[in-house]
Amino acid sequence: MYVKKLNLLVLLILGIVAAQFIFPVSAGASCKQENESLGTVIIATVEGDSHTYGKDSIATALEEEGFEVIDLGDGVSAESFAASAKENKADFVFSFASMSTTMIRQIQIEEQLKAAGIRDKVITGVGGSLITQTWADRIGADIYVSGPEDAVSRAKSALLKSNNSLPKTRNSANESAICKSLNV
Amino acid sequence: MKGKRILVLTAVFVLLILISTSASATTLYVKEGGGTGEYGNLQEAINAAADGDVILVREGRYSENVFVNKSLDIIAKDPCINNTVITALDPEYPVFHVTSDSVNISGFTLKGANLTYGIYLDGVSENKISNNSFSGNWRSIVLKDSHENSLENNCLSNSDNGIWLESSGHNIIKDNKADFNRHYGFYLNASENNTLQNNCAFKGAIGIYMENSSCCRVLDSETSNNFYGIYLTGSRESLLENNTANANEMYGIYLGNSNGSTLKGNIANTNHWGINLDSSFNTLQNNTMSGNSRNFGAYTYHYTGEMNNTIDTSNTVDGKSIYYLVEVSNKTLDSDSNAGVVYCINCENITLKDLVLQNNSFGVYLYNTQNSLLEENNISNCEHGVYLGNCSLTTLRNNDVNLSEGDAFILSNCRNCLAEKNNASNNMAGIWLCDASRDNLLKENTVTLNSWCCIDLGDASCKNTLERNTLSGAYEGIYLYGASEENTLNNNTITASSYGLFTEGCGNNTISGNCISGNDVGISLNLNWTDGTNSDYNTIYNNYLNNSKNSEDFGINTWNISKTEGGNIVGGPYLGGNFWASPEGDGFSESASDENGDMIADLPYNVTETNYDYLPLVFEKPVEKTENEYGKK
Repeated sequence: MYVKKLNLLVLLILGIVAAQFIFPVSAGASCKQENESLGTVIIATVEGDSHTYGKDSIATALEEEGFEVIDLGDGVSAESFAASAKENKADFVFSFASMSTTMIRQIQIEEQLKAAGIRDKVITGVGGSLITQTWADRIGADIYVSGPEDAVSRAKSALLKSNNSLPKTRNSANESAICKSLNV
Repeated sequence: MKGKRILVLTAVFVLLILISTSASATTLYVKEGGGTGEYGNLQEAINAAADGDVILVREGRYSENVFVNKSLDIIAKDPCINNTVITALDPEYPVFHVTSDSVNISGFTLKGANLTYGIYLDGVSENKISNNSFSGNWRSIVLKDSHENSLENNCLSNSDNGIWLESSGHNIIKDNKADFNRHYGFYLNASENNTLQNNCAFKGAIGIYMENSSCCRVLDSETSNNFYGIYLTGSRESLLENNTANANEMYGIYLGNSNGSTLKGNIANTNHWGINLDSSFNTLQNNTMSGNSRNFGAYTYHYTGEMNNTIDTSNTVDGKSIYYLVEVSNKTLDSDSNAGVVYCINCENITLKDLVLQNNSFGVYLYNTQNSLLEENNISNCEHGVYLGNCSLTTLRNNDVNLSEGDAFILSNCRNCLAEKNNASNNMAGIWLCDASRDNLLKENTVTLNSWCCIDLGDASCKNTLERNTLSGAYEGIYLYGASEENTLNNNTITASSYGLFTEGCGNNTISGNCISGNDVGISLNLNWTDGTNSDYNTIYNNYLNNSKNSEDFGINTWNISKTEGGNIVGGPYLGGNFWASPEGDGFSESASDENGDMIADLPYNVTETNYDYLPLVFEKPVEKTENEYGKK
């Protein structure tokens, strides 16, 4: 009887060990993975522009897909985009412009990110009613987003491309201050 | 005598100083790898040099970040700039960082500063940067707090930016070529009194950009195949003369908040917008705009600032003259005027007749202009056809406005204007009354095939009358929004739209005598979802409704008046409610009983659970009519 119980115990332990091999993720680890952000997104409408509909719907979609979204609102200066991206160690900077006179601010965001020394640390996305893939290519933005689903899929694939799918492993935006010596 | 001797001695002393100074200027040589009497790199030579020396750099490939803190001539000896190449050793530092006045740098190819600058003039003056070639830099030449420098005949390509000025004035930027730069060819911020002459900028995002940089001159330059050609914002009293801005995807030349600027002899062809002003007190002469989607534009709708420009008819759009009238009275422009676009600011009694206006931001733009008439004009392919801002007692009659990207007619804050018998087709919207336009009459207009709505009233546009208009083929036949109240919609015909009439937070309107048929929804009275205002207290009666769905009512509205003698919309003897038909022929009014034969149904019609038409109209029964006439069914 004692031997039988012992055998059962051994079998139980062996079962647990086998289960660990077959299902290596523990409950705690699994929970942690679920909560981990896919990446931090700074999102806003550019300075001089108050059209928020496109930005809002994309912010919601990204949030639902597991990105941490920091929505700066509308009428946001290029300097604020860059400062917030740096402060929050952002992975993405998404800007939206819907006017022919405000889309040029997206160039300034690219410039400000470079001036802050973090252009190569973030993935930039541009959207808005007049924005096209050609515009994105011309100004050097990484992603052109046409809508919420598009934004999510492009953000995910850009992330995969840029950091081999490991969330939060890229260098922080603060680690490099490229232009500090020039004060640009 | 003594004075003369002192003078001679002083002159001799000065001469001696000059001779000794010139004698001390030496030439230092730099050669790749060094050599006898030659330095192996530029920095060593600069360190060894004194103010006024010349450094001649022999052909070769150098990798350096050079710091120049002395007044020197640094010249590539080989006349071919491709043969003397300096690449940034550390891309985080400029190839040349100049902190001294009177430095000449000439004849080099400078590249690889992709995180900074090719040449950085840092708080200096009287430097000359000439005959160099730049590529692969973040910014090729940067001036900060630097004045009275000269940048000439440089070739700036394949970088993020060409020439970049911040807080730098009185510089001459001449004969430079910037192409394939990702962002700006020439960028000026807070930099006043600079002269840009005979430069060109191709295939960048913006050719020449000036922000808060007043009193600059851009002359004889070409900016083509960019997204934006020449873009000024906050740059007052600028002069743009004899420039060419062609084939840019957005604006050829744009002036935003750059008052008091002068544009003379510029050419802007085949851009999306040729020349566009969002500024005042500007002077335009002899500018040519041709083949642009929108040749000329000034201001947007809702604009209320100063519009006092001097723009004469020497300015042309597709070969026709721009008429920009300010404070003019009693003038007629007809087909003899060769007008291509017309602006009337603060005018009185203007007649525009028989004009053909195409391809501009607005065909006709009237602001604060009264007692005027637009008649039998043909306007097409504009952003908006006719704009009336803050106008009164003005008539729009028998005009054709087609193919506008936006609205055919906009009346913003207008009073007592009449729009009648106009045709508007294939626009985004037909007639838009906005910004508290009141007491206007829109009648007998035909508005068809608009992608959005035929007529819309918004922003507290009240007490207007819409009657006998024929509206078809849009998302909404008539759209009321933004507390537009006490309007009368009478005897209009609305067909083939998603909504015949759609209201959003608008009450106290009277809707009667309209034939609304063939729409998905006939009349839809809705809440304004943003501020919660409902569409209440509208009175809807004597309309003929034959739609997939005749009504939606989310407010408290009245769908009939009390039974009143008078011919109704279906020929009955009394006014009361509405006629409720259906495309299948079995609508309420088509099947309701009418025992007393007054052609009003015996029972009310449930518009919604809480709103009723208590006096729905009915036809004279066709079955009874057949039996009466022929005695059999």
